[in-house]
Amino acid sequence: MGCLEDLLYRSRVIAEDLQFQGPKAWKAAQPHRKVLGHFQVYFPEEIAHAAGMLPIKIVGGGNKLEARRADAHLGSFICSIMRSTLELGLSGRLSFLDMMVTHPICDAARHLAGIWTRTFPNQPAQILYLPQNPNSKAAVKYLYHEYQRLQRDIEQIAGHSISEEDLRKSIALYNENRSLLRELYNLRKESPWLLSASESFVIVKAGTILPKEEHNQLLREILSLLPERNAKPQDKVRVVFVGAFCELPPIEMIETMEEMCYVVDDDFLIGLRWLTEDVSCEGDPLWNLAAAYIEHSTWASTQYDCHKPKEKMLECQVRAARAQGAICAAAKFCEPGVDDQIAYAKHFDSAGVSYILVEFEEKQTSFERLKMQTETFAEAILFE
Amino acid sequence: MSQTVQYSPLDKVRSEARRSMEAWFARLGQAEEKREPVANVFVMGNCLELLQVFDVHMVFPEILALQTAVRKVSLDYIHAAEGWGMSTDACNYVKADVGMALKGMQHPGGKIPKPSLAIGSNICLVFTKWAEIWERLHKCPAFILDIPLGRAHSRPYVPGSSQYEADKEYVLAQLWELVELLGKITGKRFDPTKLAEAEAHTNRAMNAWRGILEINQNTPALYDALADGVVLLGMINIARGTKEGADFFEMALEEFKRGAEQHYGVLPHEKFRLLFHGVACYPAMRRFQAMFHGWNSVFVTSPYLTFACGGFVGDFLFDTSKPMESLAELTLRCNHLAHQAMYFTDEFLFNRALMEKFHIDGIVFHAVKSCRTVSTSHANTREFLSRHHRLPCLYLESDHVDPRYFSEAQIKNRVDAFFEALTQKKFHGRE
Ligand code: SF4
Ligand code: SF4
Repeated sequence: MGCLEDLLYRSRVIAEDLQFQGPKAWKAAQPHRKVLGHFQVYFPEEIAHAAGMLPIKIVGGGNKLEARRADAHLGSFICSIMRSTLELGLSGRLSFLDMMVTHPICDAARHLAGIWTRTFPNQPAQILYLPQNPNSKAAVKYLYHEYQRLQRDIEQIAGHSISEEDLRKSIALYNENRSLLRELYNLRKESPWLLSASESFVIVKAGTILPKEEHNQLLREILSLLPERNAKPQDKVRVVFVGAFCELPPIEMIETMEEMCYVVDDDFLIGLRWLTEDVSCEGDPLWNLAAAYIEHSTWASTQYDCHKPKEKMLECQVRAARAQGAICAAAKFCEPGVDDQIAYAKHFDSAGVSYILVEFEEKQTSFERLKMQTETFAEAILFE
Repeated sequence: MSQTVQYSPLDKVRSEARRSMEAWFARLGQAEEKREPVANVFVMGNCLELLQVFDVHMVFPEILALQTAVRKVSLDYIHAAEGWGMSTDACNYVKADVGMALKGMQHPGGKIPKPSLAIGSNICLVFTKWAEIWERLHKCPAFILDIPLGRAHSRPYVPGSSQYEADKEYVLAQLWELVELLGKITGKRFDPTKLAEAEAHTNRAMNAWRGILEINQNTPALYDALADGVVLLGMINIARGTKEGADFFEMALEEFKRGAEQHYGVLPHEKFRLLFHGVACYPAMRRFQAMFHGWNSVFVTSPYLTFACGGFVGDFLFDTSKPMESLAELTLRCNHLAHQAMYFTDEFLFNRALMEKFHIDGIVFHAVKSCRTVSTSHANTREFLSRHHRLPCLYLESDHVDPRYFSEAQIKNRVDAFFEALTQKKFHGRE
C-alpha cells in the first residue's frame, strides 16, 4: 500500500492520461484482448467485463487537448466534449478500441455513432438505446431485450459467449466499486476537509480507464488512509455542484470553487454511480441490471423521469448533504444542461435555496469570472 | 426546359394549404372557449391517429415557432424567453414557444390554447426537455413516447427479428398507456374503428405524399423541395389522419402530374438540381432561396421532407385490421426512417439511390446552430461525401428561427463560390 499522497498522485496521472497508456498496456499484455469504449453517461460495463473485455469510459480530452482536426467535422455549435472526443479519435489515440458505444443522452452525442462509423470504419460503433420513458411499465422488459442485443454484439466482438455466471461475477465486482464510491462520497459529506472534491474527482476519473479490479484496490487503499489524514475543518460554505453529468469541468475549475467552498456532493461522472444500490446477483443477472437502471438509479439532465423532477431531486440532494447552496452549472452548448438551469433557478427562488448559475467548458483555462462568482456567492451565504 | 404554358400546379396546392392552415388556427382559437382537450405534439415521434380518436386538438409548437420566423417576429419571442432565463444555446423553436407562452399564448396566427397534455418523444431529445418545460409552465402532464431507433450505421432493421419484436412490444405497451391517459383526460372511450378510419386516411395521404416526392425526379422540377416542400410538410403534419389531409395530398399529386404533362418547371431555366439537408432558414427564406434561384438551381428533394414528418413517407402502410399493433409498427418504422435521415445521413442518401434518380448535382447542408438533432453530423457527412464520393457539397450555418445568425454576405459568398465550382464541374468537366 502506498501513502495517501502517492495514491492521489497516481490517480491524477491516470485521470489525465490522454494517451490511454493503461488500457493499451492491458490490451497488449495478452493476444485477443478487446477494449470497448463508451461515451458518457451510463453504460452497463458489467456486460463487457463479463466478456473479458476492458470497458472504458470516453470523457473527452479536457483542457490539455486542442481539437484542431475535429473542427472540420463539427459545427461551431457543438459542445467541447464531443469535439475533443472526436479529436481523440482523429489523432489516433483511440485506435486501440474494438468497439464504441454512445447513448441517446442528447442529440449531439447520439450522432457520435454515425460520425464514428464514417470516420473510423474499422471500429464498430453503435447506439445503446437506454429508455427515455422509464415510467412505462414495459421499460424494464424493453431494456432487458436491449441489453440482450448488446450482449450479442459484444459476444461477437469478444469472440465467445458470456455465461450467467460470468455476468454475476462482474456484477459483484461492480457492486463493490459502486459501494466504495458511495463510501467516498459519504466521507466527503461527513468530513469534506479530509478529501477535496478535486481529489475525489481524479480518484473517480481514474476509474474510467482502470480495470475495475484495480480501481477497487485503489479505492480501498485510499479509503483506509483517509481517516488518518492530517487535515482540519475550515470555515467554508458547503455546496452541491451539478451540471457535469457529461462534459467534465477542468480540474482547475473545481479547485477554484474549493477556495471558498466545500463541494460536498456533485454529479461528476455520475454514470459510474448511476445505480444507487447493489444489483442482485440472484436470478437473471441481465434482468437485474435492467431493473436497476429503472428502479434503483439516480437522476441527470439527460434522463427523463416524471417521478424525478430535476429541481426537486437537486433540492433533496442539497438538503441531504446539509449544503448551504448549489452551484448549478451547464456546459456551453449543452441543451440538457442549460434547460435544467431554468428549472433549478425558478424552483430555488421560491424554495429559498441559495444558488448560482455557471457556464463552463472542459477546454477552459481561465477561471477569474468563476472565482468572483463563487466568492460573492460564498460571502452572501456566510453573512446571511 | 422552358415553360410552355402558364399553368402552375403550385397555385392550387398553396391556396388549399393556406386555407387548411387558417382553419387549423381557427379551431385552435376556439378550443379553450369550448373547453376541448388540446395536446402539444411534435412533427416527429407523435401518434396523431390516436389523438384523432379522442378528438384532441393538436398544437405543433415547432410549426408555430417557424411561423414566427417567417412572419419576422421571432426575435421578440426569443428575447422574451431569454429574459426569462433561457440560454442563447437552447433550440430556438423552444425559445419562440416559451416566448409565446410568456406573451399570453399570442401568436401572429391567432390565440393558441394551453395544452391539456404534452406528448414528447425521444427522436429529438430536446422534445423531452421541452415537455419538461411545459410540465412546469402549463402544469400539464407529459407523456414521452420512447421509440427505440437505429442502433448502428447500415444495420438492417427487419420485422420479425428479435430486436424489432422487442421494440414493437415496448412501443405498443406505451401506446396502450397513452390510451389510458387520453381516456382520463378526455373522458372518452377508445374506439378501434375510429383509429382504423384515421389510419386509412393516413394511408391515402402517405401514398400520395410519396408520389409527390418521387415526381420531382421529373426534369424540370415541379416544385422547390425547400420553399414548397415546407408547405407540404405543414399539411402532412396538421392534417395527417384526416379525410381533409388525404384529399389534399391526392389533389396535390394530381396537380403535379398535370404539371409534368404540361412540362411545367418551377424554374424557367433549370440549370442545377440540388439536394437540401437540414432545417429551413425560416427567418430569411426568400433571400436564402433567391441566392440559389439566382444561379438557376432548384432544390429537387430533401431528407427534411422525410424526417420532419416523422418518416411518414416510407414504403409502409397501416394494416387497419389491427389498428393498435399497426400504429406501433408504423411509429417504429417511420421514425426509424426519420432517424436514419438525420443520424446516418450518408447511408440514407445512398441506399435510396437518390442522387441518380433525382439527377442531383450537389448537396447543400444547412446546419442550424440551435438544432443539434439535425445538424450535428452535417460537417462530418459533408467531409465524408466529398472525400469518398466526390460529391459537391456546400456547408452553411445559420438558424431556423433566430435572424441574428443569418449573415447574408458571408452565406452569399459561399453560395457563389460553390456554384462557380459546380459550373466548372458540370459544364467544363473540371474539378
Ligand atoms: S455535454 Fe451535453 S450536449 Fe455535449 S454531449 Fe454531453 S449531454 Fe450532449
Ligand atoms: S433541436 Fe432541432 S429537431 Fe429538436 S426541436 Fe429543435 S429544431 Fe426541432
